[in-house]
Amino acid sequence: MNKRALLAIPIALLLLSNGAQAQEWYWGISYGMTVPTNETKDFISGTSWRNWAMDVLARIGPNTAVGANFGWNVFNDITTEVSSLERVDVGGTQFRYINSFPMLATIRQFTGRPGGFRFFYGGGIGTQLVRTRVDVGQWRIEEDTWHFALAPEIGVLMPVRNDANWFINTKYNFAAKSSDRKESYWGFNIGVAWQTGGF
Amino acid sequence: MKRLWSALPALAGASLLLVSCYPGDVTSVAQLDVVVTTHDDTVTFSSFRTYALLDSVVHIDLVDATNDSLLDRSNDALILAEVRSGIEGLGYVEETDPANNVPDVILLVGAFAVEKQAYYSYGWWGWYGWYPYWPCCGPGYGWGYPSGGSVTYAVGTLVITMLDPARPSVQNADGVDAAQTLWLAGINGLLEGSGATRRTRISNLIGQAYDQSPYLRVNENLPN
Repeated sequence: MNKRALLAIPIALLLLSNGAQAQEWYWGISYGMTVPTNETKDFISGTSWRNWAMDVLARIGPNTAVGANFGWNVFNDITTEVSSLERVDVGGTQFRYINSFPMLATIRQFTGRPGGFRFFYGGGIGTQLVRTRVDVGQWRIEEDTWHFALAPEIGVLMPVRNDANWFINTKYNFAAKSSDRKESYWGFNIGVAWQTGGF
Repeated sequence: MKRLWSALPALAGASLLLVSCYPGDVTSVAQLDVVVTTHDDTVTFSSFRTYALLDSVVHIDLVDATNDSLLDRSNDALILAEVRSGIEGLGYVEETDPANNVPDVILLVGAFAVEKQAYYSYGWWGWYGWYPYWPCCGPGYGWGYPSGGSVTYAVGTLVITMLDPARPSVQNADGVDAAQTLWLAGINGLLEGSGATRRTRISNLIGQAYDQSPYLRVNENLPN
């Protein structure tokens, strides 16, 4: 699947959801921390505190909403470990970075009643742009890769007033293998959401 | 509370503006040093015992053979001492009469430097500070004129080469007979910092070249 096809998924779902349920919209922005796992952890082991996301959802059923999620996660690490490739070993201070941009079509199922304390679960499917950079000495190695991405999530919505909520969620971001790289990390986010209608 | 809610989108937007895609700055010249080593993996280094070290650092001037202004010889003795100390730390013994007793390996040390120029620009988002001036308006991004400049800096490279005198030379791509390299270390960094700092960097980097090449260690249990 090429990157245009992957990008089309969240956009198409967002457009299809328009008008599905009397224009009941939900806009959320969140800040979070992420914990890298597997190959991402091998490259950058530290927790990241630079993570943002935006969600747009339209209600399509009493407790179901679909929409899109756009995120930006920044990982960085400084290491002096020696990198080896075949017979060449490189020592020195390496500044490692990952900028990850998930773009997902999402679906959420809510429990409880609109306007109340609501748990939700769901997930996203789409694409993730990953920009990987290593600066060592006076050299820079940078690569952009597009991945097929999945992101299951659970969370809870806490009403503040009729049109606004706090929310927290946990999401596992998985980016499938592309150009010999795959990425995965846990995200723990807190955010605010504005809404029209009964979320 | 209502005011807080109204301010949240602005706060979120502001926090995004302050985000850097690439956090973490270089805090010392030493962080720009790099050591690259490579070796011939068909060679059994553990079978070697003796070495000889050329008694001078060969300065290679890439631009003008008469211009040695970027490199002086004030650190040559230190470089040779560190190369000697490092190889002996791996179990090699110096052959003091290489003319009559051919050593197992020969070490050569060369150095060269180049001058580079970098250009930088602050762009329109030139600075972060008090705008327009204290105590008027408080902190914020300034919308200034684009500014920038250039900086010239020197980069030095030290090359340590290990050769086997018993190995026949081979013709390289230019048709020149060249000795076969068993092990090569390239140490590269900015020629900045005070004398003491630079000497510490040189010592650490030559040590690093040996540390990341553990396959060089000789088998000290072999008979002489």
